[in-house]
Amino acid sequence: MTTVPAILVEDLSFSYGDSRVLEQIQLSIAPREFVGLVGPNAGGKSTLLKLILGLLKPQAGRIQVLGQTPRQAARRIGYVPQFPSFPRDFPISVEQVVVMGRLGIGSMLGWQRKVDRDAARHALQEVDALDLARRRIGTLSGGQLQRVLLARALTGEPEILILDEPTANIDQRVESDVFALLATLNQHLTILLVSHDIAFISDYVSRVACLNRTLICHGTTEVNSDAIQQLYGSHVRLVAHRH
Amino acid sequence: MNEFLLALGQHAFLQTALLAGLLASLGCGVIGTFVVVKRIAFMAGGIAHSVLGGMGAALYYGVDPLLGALSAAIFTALLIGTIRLFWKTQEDTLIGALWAVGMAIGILFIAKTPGYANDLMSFLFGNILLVPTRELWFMAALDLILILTVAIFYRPFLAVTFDEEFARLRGVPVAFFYLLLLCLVAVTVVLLIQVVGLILVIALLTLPAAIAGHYVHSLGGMMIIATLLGGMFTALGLALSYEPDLPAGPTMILLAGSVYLLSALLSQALRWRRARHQATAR
Repeated sequence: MTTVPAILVEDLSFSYGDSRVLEQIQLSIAPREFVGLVGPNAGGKSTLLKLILGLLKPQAGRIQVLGQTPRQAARRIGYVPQFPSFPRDFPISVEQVVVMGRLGIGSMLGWQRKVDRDAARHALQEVDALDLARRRIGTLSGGQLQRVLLARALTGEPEILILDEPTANIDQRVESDVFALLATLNQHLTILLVSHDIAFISDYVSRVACLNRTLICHGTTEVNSDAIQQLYGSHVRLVAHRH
Repeated sequence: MNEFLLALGQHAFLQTALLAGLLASLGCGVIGTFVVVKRIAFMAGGIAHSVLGGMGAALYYGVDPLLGALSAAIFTALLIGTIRLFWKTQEDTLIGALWAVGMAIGILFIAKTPGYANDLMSFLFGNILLVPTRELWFMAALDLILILTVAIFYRPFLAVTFDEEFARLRGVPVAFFYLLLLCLVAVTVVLLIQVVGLILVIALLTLPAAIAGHYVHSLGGMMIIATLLGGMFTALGLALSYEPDLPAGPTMILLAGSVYLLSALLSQALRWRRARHQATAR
């Protein structure tokens, strides 16, 4: 018996009005794989994530997450958005934001339980942000907020972690901390990470999927100048760099 | 003020008015907090004004106007909520249209109802001194519904108010809780119409919670402080208006508006001082 893929995308196409954003996408991600999704702006990365999360419905083709429909499986995914979808001035503490990641585990009725608060503090510790627990969400810096959003995703006990540009507002030192943490989490989690920085993520991920309306997969060793030119057009130069 | 306290001991209608104000402030504190943090004051305004349609129809057909108000408020809340959830592009225009159409319907009905023209002013601006004692029970029942619903569904309400997209991913039925929240706003509007009338409702729904938001940074804390402030504004407004024989509703609103203005200036000044203190601290 073959194992059920964590994420399976078959013949997927999607358009906003007249403009086709995704065309005939095929993607299969095995459990505990670490896949990097790269591509230019407006190449359809965020749309593909929204479809996998069940926030959008595919117009053609199908998506299965852990053998279920995306809507059914949404609770088994931890999602870290690129931009927070909440107002920054909301009167709420970091700990309360992270506790919200526990919704959908057990009953939603009544007051919050101690197990949920403990799980939230544990997740904050995991991302090295326990000292922020009592801070108001609006007072955090970009990098701190990113770690808190990661904690919110982790506290829901996900089987898949999906991150959209997690290192966009983070300086390099913190960035390598985040990737070290992701590498540890990868021992029991499937990870799909969107980034615009191919060279950097190729040090960590097992496979790179390049998306610009259509999708092409590469093993990390195969990401060479040909592949990048095909993706971004001819004016991009590949600069090999090590950190 | 002393005269008010003396009169309060003697006249049952003043005691009823005071109680009505305090009962209304529970709704304005708990639901007003959601209205402020979710920024749906405009929707709440639309719900409040369209209530006149229900009140007018109820008068015309000889039904209790409060029941008319409650059904119109809930109907408009569901309509506005559905528009917001499934038809985003025209949201503000449609709310504005419902706002005016509701009032127009109400005024037509009232014009065709013999002998009720004087009541129009008390619908629009409230008359807390005319609240009958049996209506206190109705208000208390509405308060109980509000508080129980918020207590039972506190976590999904918080999630939907804070981050709808994330709530949806966690399997929270977002549309259901969003519409339920608007229905609670509708119930609160009906509570507050007793006290300040439907035009001034929006002030009591937002100002106490907004003032609380200047100083406390949790939803629960805002609810408690906003309820206390709401109680203070209604009681003090009633007392201040008694001796010079001013209408009570507008007095309460002016009081709340002035405190809001002062509080906004004060909290801004405090923030500047704190920032300067931080910058110069060694």
